[in-house]
Amino acid sequence: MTGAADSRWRVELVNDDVNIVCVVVHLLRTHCAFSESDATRLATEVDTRGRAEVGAFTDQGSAEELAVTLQRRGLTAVVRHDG
Amino acid sequence: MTGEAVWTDVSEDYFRAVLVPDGIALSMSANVAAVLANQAGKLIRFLETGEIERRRTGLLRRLVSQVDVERRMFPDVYRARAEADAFRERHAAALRDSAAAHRVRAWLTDTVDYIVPTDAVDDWLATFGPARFLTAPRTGTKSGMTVAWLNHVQHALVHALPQTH
Repeated sequence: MTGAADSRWRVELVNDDVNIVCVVVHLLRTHCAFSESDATRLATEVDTRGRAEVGAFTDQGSAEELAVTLQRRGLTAVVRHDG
Repeated sequence: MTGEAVWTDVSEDYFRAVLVPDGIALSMSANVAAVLANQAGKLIRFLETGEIERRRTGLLRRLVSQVDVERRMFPDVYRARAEADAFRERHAAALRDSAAAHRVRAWLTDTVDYIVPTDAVDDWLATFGPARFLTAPRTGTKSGMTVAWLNHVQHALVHALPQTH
Protein backbone atom coordinates (compact mmCIF):
# COMPACT_ATOMS: atom_id res chain seq x y z
CA MET A 1 0.00 0.00 0.00
CA THR A 2 1.27 3.49 -0.75
CA GLY A 3 0.47 7.07 0.09
CA ALA A 4 -2.87 8.12 -1.33
CA ALA A 5 -1.31 11.02 -3.26
CA ASP A 6 0.88 8.67 -5.35
CA SER A 7 -1.81 6.11 -5.92
CA ARG A 8 -4.09 5.65 -8.87
CA TRP A 9 -5.67 2.31 -8.01
CA ARG A 10 -8.00 2.41 -5.03
CA VAL A 11 -9.83 -0.43 -3.32
CA GLU A 12 -13.16 0.40 -1.76
CA LEU A 13 -15.34 -1.63 0.52
CA VAL A 14 -19.04 -1.42 -0.30
CA ASN A 15 -21.90 -1.90 2.13
CA ASP A 16 -24.22 -4.91 1.85
CA ASP A 17 -26.96 -6.50 3.93
CA VAL A 18 -25.03 -9.62 4.89
CA ASN A 19 -21.68 -8.80 6.48
CA ILE A 20 -21.45 -7.86 10.14
CA VAL A 21 -19.34 -5.01 11.50
CA CYS A 22 -17.16 -6.97 13.93
CA VAL A 23 -16.01 -9.37 11.19
CA VAL A 24 -15.34 -6.50 8.79
CA VAL A 25 -13.22 -4.78 11.47
CA HIS A 26 -11.26 -8.00 12.02
CA LEU A 27 -10.65 -8.48 8.28
CA LEU A 28 -9.52 -4.87 7.84
CA ARG A 29 -7.05 -5.32 10.71
CA THR A 30 -5.64 -8.62 9.51
CA HIS A 31 -5.62 -8.12 5.75
CA CYS A 32 -5.23 -4.35 5.38
CA ALA A 33 -3.05 -3.79 8.47
CA PHE A 34 -5.31 -1.11 9.93
CA SER A 35 -5.28 -0.35 13.65
CA GLU A 36 -8.35 -1.28 15.68
CA SER A 37 -9.54 2.33 15.71
CA ASP A 38 -8.99 2.91 11.98
CA ALA A 39 -10.64 -0.41 11.08
CA THR A 40 -13.63 0.48 13.25
CA ARG A 41 -13.86 3.96 11.70
CA LEU A 42 -13.76 2.52 8.17
CA ALA A 43 -16.32 -0.20 8.92
CA THR A 44 -18.61 2.46 10.38
CA GLU A 45 -18.08 4.60 7.27
CA VAL A 46 -19.07 1.66 5.06
CA ASP A 47 -22.15 1.09 7.19
CA THR A 48 -23.26 4.73 7.26
CA ARG A 49 -22.03 6.16 3.94
CA GLY A 50 -22.19 3.04 1.82
CA ARG A 51 -18.49 2.69 1.02
CA ALA A 52 -14.97 3.48 2.23
CA GLU A 53 -11.50 3.39 0.74
CA VAL A 54 -9.46 0.61 2.33
CA GLY A 55 -6.42 0.53 0.06
CA ALA A 56 -4.52 2.74 -2.41
CA PHE A 57 -1.86 1.46 -4.79
CA THR A 58 0.30 2.60 -7.67
CA ASP A 59 -0.33 -0.62 -9.60
CA GLN A 60 -3.46 -2.45 -10.65
CA GLY A 61 -2.14 -5.86 -9.64
CA SER A 62 -1.75 -4.98 -5.96
CA ALA A 63 -5.19 -3.39 -5.84
CA GLU A 64 -6.76 -6.46 -7.43
CA GLU A 65 -4.89 -8.75 -5.06
CA LEU A 66 -6.47 -6.98 -2.08
CA ALA A 67 -9.89 -7.09 -3.75
CA VAL A 68 -9.51 -10.86 -4.22
CA THR A 69 -8.49 -11.31 -0.57
CA LEU A 70 -11.54 -9.40 0.67
CA GLN A 71 -13.98 -11.05 -1.75
CA ARG A 72 -12.70 -14.49 -0.75
CA ARG A 73 -13.88 -13.69 2.75
CA GLY A 74 -17.28 -12.53 1.64
CA LEU A 75 -16.80 -8.77 1.58
CA THR A 76 -17.93 -6.55 -1.28
CA ALA A 77 -14.76 -4.94 -2.65
CA VAL A 78 -14.39 -2.83 -5.78
CA VAL A 79 -11.39 -1.31 -7.56
CA ARG A 80 -11.43 2.27 -8.79
CA HIS A 81 -8.89 3.84 -11.15
CA ASP A 82 -8.18 7.57 -10.93
CA GLY A 83 -7.76 9.33 -14.24
CA MET B 1 -48.00 -32.40 16.73
CA THR B 2 -48.87 -33.17 20.31
CA GLY B 3 -47.30 -34.91 23.26
CA GLU B 4 -44.13 -34.45 25.27
CA ALA B 5 -42.19 -36.99 23.18
CA VAL B 6 -41.88 -34.42 20.42
CA TRP B 7 -40.21 -31.94 22.73
CA THR B 8 -37.78 -34.42 24.23
CA ASP B 9 -36.39 -34.96 20.72
CA VAL B 10 -35.68 -31.27 20.26
CA SER B 11 -32.15 -30.35 21.32
CA GLU B 12 -30.78 -26.85 21.42
CA ASP B 13 -28.49 -25.86 18.56
CA TYR B 14 -25.41 -23.94 19.64
CA PHE B 15 -21.93 -22.86 18.55
CA ARG B 16 -19.53 -21.48 21.14
CA ALA B 17 -15.92 -20.32 20.81
CA VAL B 18 -13.66 -19.68 23.80
CA LEU B 19 -10.02 -18.61 23.89
CA VAL B 20 -7.76 -21.25 25.48
CA PRO B 21 -3.96 -21.46 25.71
CA ASP B 22 -3.65 -23.60 22.54
CA GLY B 23 -6.07 -21.63 20.40
CA ILE B 24 -9.84 -21.36 20.32
CA ALA B 25 -11.93 -24.16 21.79
CA LEU B 26 -15.07 -24.80 19.80
CA SER B 27 -18.19 -26.37 21.14
CA MET B 28 -21.21 -27.00 18.95
CA SER B 29 -24.25 -29.21 18.73
CA ALA B 30 -24.06 -32.22 16.41
CA ASN B 31 -26.62 -30.63 14.14
CA VAL B 32 -24.63 -27.42 13.80
CA ALA B 33 -21.46 -29.40 13.04
CA ALA B 34 -23.32 -31.35 10.36
CA VAL B 35 -24.79 -28.21 8.81
CA LEU B 36 -21.40 -26.44 8.79
CA ALA B 37 -19.69 -29.46 7.22
CA ASN B 38 -22.46 -29.61 4.64
CA GLN B 39 -22.07 -25.91 3.83
CA ALA B 40 -18.30 -26.30 3.49
CA GLY B 41 -18.90 -29.25 1.14
CA LYS B 42 -21.30 -27.23 -0.99
CA LEU B 43 -18.77 -24.41 -1.22
CA ILE B 44 -16.03 -26.87 -2.24
CA ARG B 45 -18.23 -28.31 -5.00
CA PHE B 46 -19.11 -24.86 -6.28
CA LEU B 47 -15.51 -23.61 -6.24
CA GLU B 48 -14.11 -26.74 -7.87
CA THR B 49 -16.83 -27.71 -10.35
CA GLY B 50 -19.36 -24.88 -10.40
CA GLU B 51 -22.03 -27.24 -9.07
CA ILE B 52 -24.95 -25.51 -7.35
CA GLU B 53 -28.22 -26.64 -5.84
CA ARG B 54 -31.23 -26.24 -8.08
CA ARG B 55 -33.14 -23.40 -6.43
CA ARG B 56 -35.76 -20.97 -7.59
CA THR B 57 -35.84 -17.38 -6.39
CA GLY B 58 -37.73 -14.11 -6.73
CA LEU B 59 -41.32 -13.38 -7.62
CA LEU B 60 -41.05 -15.27 -10.91
CA ARG B 61 -39.37 -18.24 -9.19
CA ARG B 62 -36.51 -18.11 -11.69
CA LEU B 63 -33.97 -20.94 -11.50
CA VAL B 64 -30.69 -19.70 -9.99
CA SER B 65 -27.79 -20.27 -12.38
CA GLN B 66 -24.10 -20.89 -11.81
CA VAL B 67 -23.38 -17.40 -13.16
CA ASP B 68 -25.87 -15.88 -10.68
CA VAL B 69 -24.05 -17.50 -7.76
CA GLU B 70 -20.62 -16.57 -9.10
CA ARG B 71 -21.62 -12.91 -9.49
CA ARG B 72 -23.04 -12.59 -6.00
CA MET B 73 -20.18 -14.51 -4.39
CA PHE B 74 -17.59 -12.51 -6.36
CA PRO B 75 -19.42 -9.30 -7.28
CA ASP B 76 -18.26 -6.98 -10.03
CA VAL B 77 -15.01 -5.33 -9.01
CA TYR B 78 -15.19 -2.84 -11.87
CA ARG B 79 -18.16 -0.81 -13.05
CA ALA B 80 -17.81 -2.07 -16.63
CA ARG B 81 -19.13 -5.63 -16.91
CA ALA B 82 -16.41 -6.67 -19.38
CA GLU B 83 -13.66 -5.49 -17.01
CA ALA B 84 -15.36 -7.22 -14.09
CA ASP B 85 -15.60 -10.48 -16.03
CA ALA B 86 -11.94 -10.15 -17.03
CA PHE B 87 -11.03 -9.69 -13.35
CA ARG B 88 -12.87 -12.90 -12.41
CA GLU B 89 -11.10 -14.76 -15.21
CA ARG B 90 -7.67 -13.30 -14.30
CA HIS B 91 -8.04 -14.29 -10.66
CA ALA B 92 -10.05 -17.47 -11.10
CA ALA B 93 -7.46 -19.64 -9.35
CA ALA B 94 -7.37 -17.46 -6.23
CA LEU B 95 -11.11 -16.86 -6.13
CA ARG B 96 -11.84 -20.56 -6.53
CA ASP B 97 -9.16 -21.81 -4.15
CA SER B 98 -10.91 -24.44 -2.02
CA ALA B 99 -8.01 -25.32 0.31
CA ALA B 100 -9.41 -23.42 3.31
CA ALA B 101 -12.84 -25.01 2.91
CA HIS B 102 -11.25 -28.49 2.73
CA ARG B 103 -9.35 -27.85 5.97
CA VAL B 104 -12.45 -26.58 7.76
CA ARG B 105 -14.57 -29.50 6.56
CA ALA B 106 -11.89 -31.93 7.74
CA TRP B 107 -11.97 -30.32 11.18
CA LEU B 108 -15.72 -30.62 11.33
CA THR B 109 -15.90 -34.22 10.19
CA ASP B 110 -12.70 -35.81 11.52
CA THR B 111 -11.85 -33.94 14.68
CA VAL B 112 -13.03 -34.80 18.17
CA ASP B 113 -11.04 -32.18 20.02
CA TYR B 114 -12.22 -28.88 18.60
CA ILE B 115 -9.32 -26.59 19.35
CA VAL B 116 -8.58 -24.35 16.41
CA PRO B 117 -5.28 -22.45 16.34
CA THR B 118 -5.94 -18.70 16.22
CA ASP B 119 -4.13 -18.46 12.87
CA ALA B 120 -6.64 -20.92 11.39
CA VAL B 121 -9.64 -18.69 12.10
CA ASP B 122 -9.02 -17.08 8.71
CA ASP B 123 -9.80 -20.45 7.08
CA TRP B 124 -13.23 -20.39 8.73
CA LEU B 125 -13.89 -16.84 7.54
CA ALA B 126 -12.73 -17.75 4.02
CA THR B 127 -15.15 -20.69 4.09
CA PHE B 128 -18.31 -19.43 5.71
CA GLY B 129 -17.94 -15.87 4.37
CA PRO B 130 -18.43 -16.88 0.73
CA ALA B 131 -20.62 -19.92 1.55
CA ARG B 132 -23.41 -17.52 2.54
CA PHE B 133 -23.77 -16.50 -1.10
CA LEU B 134 -24.54 -20.02 -2.27
CA THR B 135 -28.08 -19.32 -1.10
CA ALA B 136 -28.40 -15.63 -0.25
CA PRO B 137 -28.11 -12.36 -2.15
CA ARG B 138 -25.99 -9.50 -0.84
CA THR B 139 -28.93 -7.14 -0.60
CA GLY B 140 -32.42 -7.54 0.83
CA THR B 141 -33.61 -8.74 4.17
CA LYS B 142 -34.48 -12.33 3.27
CA SER B 143 -31.07 -13.89 3.82
CA GLY B 144 -32.49 -16.76 5.87
CA MET B 145 -31.54 -18.99 8.76
CA THR B 146 -28.41 -20.47 7.17
CA VAL B 147 -26.85 -17.04 6.71
CA ALA B 148 -27.79 -16.11 10.28
CA TRP B 149 -25.96 -19.18 11.56
CA LEU B 150 -22.91 -18.64 9.38
CA ASN B 151 -22.74 -15.03 10.59
CA HIS B 152 -23.06 -16.23 14.18
CA VAL B 153 -20.15 -18.66 13.67
CA GLN B 154 -17.95 -15.89 12.25
CA HIS B 155 -18.98 -13.49 15.01
CA ALA B 156 -18.21 -16.04 17.75
CA LEU B 157 -14.78 -16.85 16.29
CA VAL B 158 -13.73 -13.21 15.87
CA HIS B 159 -14.88 -12.35 19.39
CA ALA B 160 -12.92 -15.26 20.83
CA LEU B 161 -9.63 -14.07 19.32
CA PRO B 162 -7.18 -12.35 21.66
CA GLN B 163 -7.26 -8.55 21.42
CA THR B 164 -3.77 -8.41 19.95
CA HIS B 165 -4.58 -10.79 17.09
